[in-house]
Amino acid sequence: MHYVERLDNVRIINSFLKILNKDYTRDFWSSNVVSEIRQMAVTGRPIRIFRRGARIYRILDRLSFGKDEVVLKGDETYNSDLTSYISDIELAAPIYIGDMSFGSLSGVPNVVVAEAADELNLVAGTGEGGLHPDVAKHRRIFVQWASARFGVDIDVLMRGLGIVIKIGQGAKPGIGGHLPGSKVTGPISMVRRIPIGVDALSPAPHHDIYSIEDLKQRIDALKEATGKPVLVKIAATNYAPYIAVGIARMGADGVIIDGHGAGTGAAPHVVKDNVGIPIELAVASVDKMLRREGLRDGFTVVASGRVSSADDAAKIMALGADVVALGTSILNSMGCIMARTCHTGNCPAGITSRLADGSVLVDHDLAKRAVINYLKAFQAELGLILDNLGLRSVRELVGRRDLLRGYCINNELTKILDVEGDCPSELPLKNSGSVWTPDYSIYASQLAKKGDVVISSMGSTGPPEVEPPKRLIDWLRLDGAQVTKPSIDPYREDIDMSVYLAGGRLQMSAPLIIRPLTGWGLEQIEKAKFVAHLMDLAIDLYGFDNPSSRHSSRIMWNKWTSGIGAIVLSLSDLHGMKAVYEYDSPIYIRLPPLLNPIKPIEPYLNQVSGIIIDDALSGEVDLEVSVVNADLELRRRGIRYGMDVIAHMTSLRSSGDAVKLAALGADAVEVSSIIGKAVTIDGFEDKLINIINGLRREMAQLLGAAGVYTYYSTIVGNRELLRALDPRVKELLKVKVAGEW
Amino acid sequence: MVIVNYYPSSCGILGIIRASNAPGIRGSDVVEAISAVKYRGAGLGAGYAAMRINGHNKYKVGLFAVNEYYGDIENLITEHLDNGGVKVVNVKVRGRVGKVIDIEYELEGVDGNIDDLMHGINNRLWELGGIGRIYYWGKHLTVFKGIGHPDEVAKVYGVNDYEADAWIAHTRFPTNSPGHLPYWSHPFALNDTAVVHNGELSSYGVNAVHLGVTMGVKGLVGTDSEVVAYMFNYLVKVIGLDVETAVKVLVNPSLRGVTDPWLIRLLNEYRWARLDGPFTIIMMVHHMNDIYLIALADRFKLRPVVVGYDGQYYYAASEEAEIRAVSPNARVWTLSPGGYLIVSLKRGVISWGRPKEQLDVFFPIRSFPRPRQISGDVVNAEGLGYREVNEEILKRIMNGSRLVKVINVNGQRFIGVNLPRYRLKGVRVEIYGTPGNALANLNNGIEFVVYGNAQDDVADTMHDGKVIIHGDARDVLGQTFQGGKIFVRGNAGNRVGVQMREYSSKRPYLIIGGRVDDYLGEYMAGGVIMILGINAYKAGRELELTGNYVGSGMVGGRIYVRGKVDYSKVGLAPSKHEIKVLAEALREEGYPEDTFNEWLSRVLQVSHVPRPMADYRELTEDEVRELKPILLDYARELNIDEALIDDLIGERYTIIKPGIKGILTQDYKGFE
Repeated sequence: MHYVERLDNVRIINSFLKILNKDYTRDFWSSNVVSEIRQMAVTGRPIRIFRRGARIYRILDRLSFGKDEVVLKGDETYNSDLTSYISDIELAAPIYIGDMSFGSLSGVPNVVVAEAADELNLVAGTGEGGLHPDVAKHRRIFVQWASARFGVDIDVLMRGLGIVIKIGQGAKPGIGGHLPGSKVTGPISMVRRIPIGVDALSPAPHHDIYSIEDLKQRIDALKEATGKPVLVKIAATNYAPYIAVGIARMGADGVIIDGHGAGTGAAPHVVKDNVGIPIELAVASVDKMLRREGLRDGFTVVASGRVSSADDAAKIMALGADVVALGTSILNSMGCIMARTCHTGNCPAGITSRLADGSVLVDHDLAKRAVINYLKAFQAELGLILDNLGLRSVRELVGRRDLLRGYCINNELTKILDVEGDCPSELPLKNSGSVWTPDYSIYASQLAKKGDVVISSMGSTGPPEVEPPKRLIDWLRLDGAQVTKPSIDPYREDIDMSVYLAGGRLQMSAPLIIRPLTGWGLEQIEKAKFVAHLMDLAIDLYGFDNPSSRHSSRIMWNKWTSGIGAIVLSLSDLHGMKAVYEYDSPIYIRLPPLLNPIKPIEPYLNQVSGIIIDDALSGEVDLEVSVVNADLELRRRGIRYGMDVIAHMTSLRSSGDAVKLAALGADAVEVSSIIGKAVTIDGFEDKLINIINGLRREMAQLLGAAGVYTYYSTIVGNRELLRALDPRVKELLKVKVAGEW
Repeated sequence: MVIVNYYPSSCGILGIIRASNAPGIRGSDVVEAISAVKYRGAGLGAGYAAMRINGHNKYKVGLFAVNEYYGDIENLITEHLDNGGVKVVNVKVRGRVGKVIDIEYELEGVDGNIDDLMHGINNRLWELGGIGRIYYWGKHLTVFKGIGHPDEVAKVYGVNDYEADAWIAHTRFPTNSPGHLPYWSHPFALNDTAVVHNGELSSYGVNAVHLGVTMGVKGLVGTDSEVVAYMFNYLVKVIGLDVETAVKVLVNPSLRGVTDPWLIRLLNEYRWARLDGPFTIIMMVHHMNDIYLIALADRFKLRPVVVGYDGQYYYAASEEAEIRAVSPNARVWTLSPGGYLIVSLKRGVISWGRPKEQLDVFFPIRSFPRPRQISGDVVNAEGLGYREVNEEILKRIMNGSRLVKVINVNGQRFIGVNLPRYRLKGVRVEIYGTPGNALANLNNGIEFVVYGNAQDDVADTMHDGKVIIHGDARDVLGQTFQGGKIFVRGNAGNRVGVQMREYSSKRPYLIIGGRVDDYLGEYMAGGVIMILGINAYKAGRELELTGNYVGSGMVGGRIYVRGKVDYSKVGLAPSKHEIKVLAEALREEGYPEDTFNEWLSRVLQVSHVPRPMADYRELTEDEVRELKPILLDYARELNIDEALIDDLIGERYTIIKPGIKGILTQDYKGFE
């Protein structure tokens, strides 16, 4: 192994580690899933088919072939033919081993997947890291042309069976590749041609591809340069069907669609959880639109993201995919235990470790044996599924939606999937329980510690699929810009987050208002006021004591003092009076979440600057509903731009929540419990500064991912940037269902 | 209109207006120009709008109607018009597009604005399932649009034979084609305003909902141009903003840099009209007895746009090839990021698209050798596609030619992209004309010489060889450029030298003789960029040679810009307003001034991407030793006097290098 040989004191992992115990609400790749994959990797034998889906909130798990689960002995053989094609390239089975880069993986796994692809006549994508010399020896690879072009020259391009233009990935639509500096060691620095120890952050967009016709240009150029087939990889986002049709029309040979929840070596945590749509919806709508436009024949659709079993694969193919891509499951098979430390380089299993002296690296022979075993067992399961369905070839399965049955699949979901499914009892939209899951508690403390975008690895564990949804907002996803518009690079480019409340009298650097927690003493309140001012924000002291007259211009309070930023009154403070105070400060009215929050303030519409919808006060509806109705009602009355809508959602736990609330219609949000979660009396000021900075920077990430330059004019009330994962949420929040055209 | 429909698409666009003393513009010229970028479309939609065509001054309304419903539609329209007190005096069937007929009504009795009437009809037609669409109305404007390539649509309507004061044109690259109806073809027009665009608005949801909820525009077909046309019409003709002010709102500058309270107020008051996302928009409007051609670029300048003037006509186009097709010697320039061109028929140029001084110094009229014929074995690119041009070049090299000349190049893309896999060295390819995008990508040893301007994406992922451009280069020149030399005599556009790298003994050098726009050397990881500003030096003018965000996110390499670059233009500078507020907060909290920098660094601390450092000084001996031979080579290749190089080497430069994590690079006072 080329690079391994040059390292000293390498510790080789030559047996499997104990699997971490995680239930299915904590990780998509729960211990059950991982141990089954491991069993297949050890025995090379199939285990069972027609698995019943474990997750009611995962749409794919609510689909089935209407067959009972079959537990296998392991020695069954199948008769069906698994031969598939990507463009004209023949594959022994419809399996593409996902694009995992050299650098994100530690080298040995890169070589192993290339060897496995050769040996089993499948294909493996190399990812964006440049070519490991031992990978370059193998034939059945697809090389990647991504925004940073790491390691790309004509020789590398000519090595591949084909080329993948990577526009996006499911784990982080609209965000570029990220190899943390700790993993940019000597060997990686050489391959990628970047300095050692510096984060390798690929640009969010390709700077030569800002539109459909630009992508055509790149496809044509790569074909002109190499004469090879070209696939385009995109993340599953709002406009996936249009994008895929565009890609087909532009002469690419296929598309790789990477769904929400797909794995990654490093990505902003909030992007992973809040952006992009599930692969099952994306594939179904892509396939349908390609057919409608007469572009489906001869065009390969590869689907990836959370393909955890042959059952997942078969269902996704029935929805319209020709081939599925496997990534995380391949890593699981070679010993990954879902420690989720890829971004640190401290992988206990030696798979995503940093490549340096003293590294922990997986044993090549162990990994190779395991991967090949797993893929054989996976193929056997897929073959047996086909046999049971009475299909002779896997190619006959593609697009056979009629074979699928549904459970709680209705309305828009039925239109997208062409599957119906009664719902004996409606799935609950909201579950009880704290929003402060272990993952979000860690997230909050990371934010307070680093003051920058929180990075994590592997696929999302967020709601609704993995963590059960607890709020309406948990059903929403933001858009990620792919091809038809470019994402904006939030680390290095100018995304305008500023907000101008009260007609510009309350200008802020970001749409964030600090809302103190009831446990805070006067000293903390005083410090929080200072931080609000320091960072060009505001603080809402409604109901609190204000210890001093300092930083008045940044204070929103229920008592008037000279120079105060704004006055906040509740409905009861108004006592039904006709005119509110005649002070020269903007006035906001604090309301519980009401179905029509404008009605009670009708008498004051010309006198106040806006409303604060606060779910700390008990209301009639969910805060999200109230915000949408406020936004729409004010627009209808033609006074939206003179009236601000501020939302205080006590359960707000991330920048993702903040941007979603804005897209639903809030000009700004008040943040409270996330501060309470992470800020301690010790180092109060620093941590508060960090939380605010982190939220601000992460919001810029989410804007950039959606291709938005300007928060204030573009995000607020832009529900077109959102998609809902349940038709009932569409009704409530006026947001389209994911996958809908 | 609470939930909107939206259909992304892309395209090539064009606008032409005559100077007040010039004759009208012939349709045939417009067709020829837009056809030069036929490859920007997919043959699924094209169109034209003309202002005051053949002296047109009667009130006219254009309607697409699905044939089988025409009777119903006619009744509906008549009823609406009658109610509005407007009379139809003439009905003309202009053509048929598939199952759709195209009809033009001539009206009488139009008194003032009939927008509401037209919106009402369109809303109703849309409610009935899109059975028809009024697609233009006005006293001076005519639109021709349909399914097909630009020349095909032109033929249907006989566009070639018309003459007008101004035109815009479009060829479309839709992702999908809902029902193959012409409704989705561009331009979009209403009330003597017509719009074409290239790009995609991320603000579409906000813009469309606003039009629906407050103006009663409900049946939008779902394209960006349409929304822009409605917005602009509303801002100018209903609210009454002047043309330039309305354009300022649409173009949506970053408020980070705006201190003018009037502009802040304006942008916030009309925030529903601000456009976000990548766009080039070309508009034409008849307003207050004048005609305007307007072109605007988004503030990240993500879509291409070239502007031209030849003494008689002003042009705005996606690509220079469009302008060159009809005006080979026009003076051309580009819009700056967030810049806009406004030309009035009566008043002339109102805004040039970038500061006039920059234009005068850096974008002079240039003449290049443009041989129509050269003796000897040359490739004549006239009428050839890129693949044929490339094959001809390769054939000659394989036959032993060391110098291949290619003449009459106009817009052919990917020139030389087929060569790298043959690993050729010591070969020179001379290009006469305007090569299209993506010239010399992946180059690993060839020398390309361009006698003319190059367009976008030149020398992407180049590892060796040379690219010499006698004119300008446009955006994204030398992306991930990793070895060899790129010499440009003129200017380059946005995002020049982004992600340049060096490795082992290979160091790339990128030398620009003129100036550049924003994001020079973004993400740079190695290599050297020099910006010389030769014309300004010769003219003795101190002009800034770069736009904003120089070296943003750079982690290696060096950028040399002759003269002083204000540090506010280096990297992603914090907002001045925020720093001002920070200092205010510290004073109010009672912190002494000498702690302010510490606070600044505490608040601005980033863990992922530090801001670059800048130094203003003369070159060191080592630098002269390294750079002088490169500059002499530059002079030799571009026929510049070597003495000038000596002078330039003696000048002071702003030298930009990667920042270091945790090191504050700017005093808070620098902001105040």
